[in-house]
Amino acid sequence: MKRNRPTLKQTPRGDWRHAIFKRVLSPTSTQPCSLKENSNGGTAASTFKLIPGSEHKKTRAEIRELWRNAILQQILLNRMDKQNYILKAKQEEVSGKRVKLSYDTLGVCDDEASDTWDLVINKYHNNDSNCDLQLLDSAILRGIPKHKRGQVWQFFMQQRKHIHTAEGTVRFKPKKEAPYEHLLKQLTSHQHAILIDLGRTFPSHPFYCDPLGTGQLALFNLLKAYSILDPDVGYCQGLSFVAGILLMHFEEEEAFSALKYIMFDLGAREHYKPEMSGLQVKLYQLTRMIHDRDPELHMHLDTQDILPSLYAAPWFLTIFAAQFSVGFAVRVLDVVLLHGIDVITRFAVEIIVDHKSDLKKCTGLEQVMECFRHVVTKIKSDDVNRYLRQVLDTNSAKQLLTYAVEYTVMHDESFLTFISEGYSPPPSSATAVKPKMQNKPLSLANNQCAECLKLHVDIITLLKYIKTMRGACSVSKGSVGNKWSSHPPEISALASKYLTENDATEDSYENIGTIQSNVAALEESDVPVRLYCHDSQDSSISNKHSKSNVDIASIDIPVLQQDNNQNDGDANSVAQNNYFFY
Amino acid sequence: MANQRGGGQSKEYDHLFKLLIIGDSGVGKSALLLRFADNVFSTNYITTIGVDFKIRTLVVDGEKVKLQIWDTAGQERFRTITSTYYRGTHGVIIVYDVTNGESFANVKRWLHEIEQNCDVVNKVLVGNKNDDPSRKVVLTTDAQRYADQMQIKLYETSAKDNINVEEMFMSITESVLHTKKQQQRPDSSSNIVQLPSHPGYKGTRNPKSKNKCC
Repeated sequence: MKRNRPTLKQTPRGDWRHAIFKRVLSPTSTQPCSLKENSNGGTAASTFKLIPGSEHKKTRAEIRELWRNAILQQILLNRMDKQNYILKAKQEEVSGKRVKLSYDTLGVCDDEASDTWDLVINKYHNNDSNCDLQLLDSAILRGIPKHKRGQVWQFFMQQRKHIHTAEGTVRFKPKKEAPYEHLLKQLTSHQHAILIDLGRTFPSHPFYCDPLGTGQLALFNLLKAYSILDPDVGYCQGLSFVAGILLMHFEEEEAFSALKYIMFDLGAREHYKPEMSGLQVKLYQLTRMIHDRDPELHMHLDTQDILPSLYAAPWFLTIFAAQFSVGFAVRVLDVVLLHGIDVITRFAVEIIVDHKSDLKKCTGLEQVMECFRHVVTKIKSDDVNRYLRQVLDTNSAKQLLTYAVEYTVMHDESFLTFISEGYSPPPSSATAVKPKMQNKPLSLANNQCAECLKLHVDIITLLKYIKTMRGACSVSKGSVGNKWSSHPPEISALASKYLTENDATEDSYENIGTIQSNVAALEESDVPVRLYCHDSQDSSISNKHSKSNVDIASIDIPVLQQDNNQNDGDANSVAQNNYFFY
Repeated sequence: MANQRGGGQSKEYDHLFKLLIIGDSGVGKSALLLRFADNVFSTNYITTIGVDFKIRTLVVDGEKVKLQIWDTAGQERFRTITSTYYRGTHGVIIVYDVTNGESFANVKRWLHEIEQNCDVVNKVLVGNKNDDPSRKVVLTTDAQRYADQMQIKLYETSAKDNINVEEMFMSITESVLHTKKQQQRPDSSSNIVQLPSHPGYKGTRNPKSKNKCC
């Protein structure tokens, strides 16, 4: 063997040719050349070792033939190498996809459902016609196989865009349609905020668990690109979960356009803007919907001081991905992508109402919150199908819109300024729903509410004053009138305004006595003052001035709330609106 | 001092205090709370979105004190949600990250936030992640000077290595208890507070008066 090498080295330019030549030559001799070794990139040197020292003279034709064989086999080898490489890449991709999709699915998804999706997507993929929504709904109910989910979501986004283009109701678009790779090259001011959340987004999911691994880097890129595209939103905590879910099903760039779709086309960006006005509207809608579905449950939560902002804020901001299983979150997202962002509210209502017996069993803030954390979030397959059916079958769009408008009307800026004396009020609220209140009945309702609010502002001023004076002076029934006159002018003015307007001084004095005792009770029980405002649909609003006695009495403390409501006979409308005053 | 972990079951206590943890995002507020309430440190913790709370009961000077500790999201825009939870708070824990100078610079803004949302409240300043001297950028002397200036106690803690966490929570609890007792003293007519022995107490509305904020 050693003899061969020097001869080869003498013809350096022919080294590789000889290698091929001799390799092909070798099978004819005793030692077959190992194909495997070669395909693994065996070097020419290693091949030489196998060559026996046969050195008999060959004819020209023989050599030609051998060369032809050698070349053909080398071509074959190259092709096989290439195939192997492709296969390996494919395997990596599949295993990567498996890692990404390693979540437990909720609900059944049979082969038939899988075929349906193939059929639907193929049929509508290349034409602009719309697929029947009911057909899609029933298919959603039967489930989407997770490896097809990305494709199906893409299809949903197309469908919804078609529908909206056809109806002429295209939502606002991002001003700059900057390409993803351009955005990636820029720097974001939210870098720190995004970076510290990477390790806190799906920390136990294999795709995201490695510090600055593939998953976290993709997440960073996506969030960074979005924060540059939409500087009004930038980065908001919660977004990382939405982006995370998308990245499980899409490649980065596709995930980016899906995120843009959710934020701009579906309008989710209102949730994440610095003033979070969209979120506030959603939380209010949720309160009202719970009340409509089960007033008792609403009362139960309300009396324990459990606001939706306490349990449901992350539901909206992460589309259920933070506290619930990913399997559930994706099924909600299935519907969200087709039917819009209000679906989250509807799911939230279904979940809460479904757990009403668990929630009602709990007493006290701690127990109820424990239930919200550990019982409510555990969704089973059967539950998902039930919720899906409910959400898809009922149309609560009108209801939700009414409550959104109601929120806007009541969240009037003058009122805000008053309520939030302490903190700077968020700028104008819910701009998205504002245009809808430009019709007559609503502006009427607005006026009525403004009137009502003005009255309440007066009452609060009075109450506050009484509170500060408490202890210093005890107001006796007979001397009330005199006492007022010695108080600051604005208080005297207010007092005289209401006392004369009612023209029933005796009653009013009694009412002030009631307030005093309420304030005393308030001081002792150390509970926050809550102010109740009647429903905007309540016809009694316009008569508020003449009924101010009732209103004063209804500024109450929650401990006394039940009794009061029973007397009031209008418990519902009172309870419906007390959400605001926290 | 004896204490009882994993509270919530115990309904019998002499005092119920509400504490609030605030500070920039990622300084370790949730980690501090998790360490104090459950004595664990986890890297698998998700971002706090909105608010959350945990309970622990301590015994201070022979009195059972139940602490309801509220953890808040650090990102500025969440203040619209979290500001609601300043109400009725007895003590506020302002946390910064000793390895992040900006989080210390922002303490001033957090103090301002307290000022806007609370009247009288006990405060403690906490420099967390104090477990790696090579990464420390906020010097103890600087932090101490600032704390003295603001008349707040300073603690440097590590939720990861369980350094000073217990002491810090104990300190704020003691000052809250002290404040409460001081406020009770001049008004001798006020009776001993009756705490409900049944579970139906009204959530955050704690049945004690006067040393509330807001």
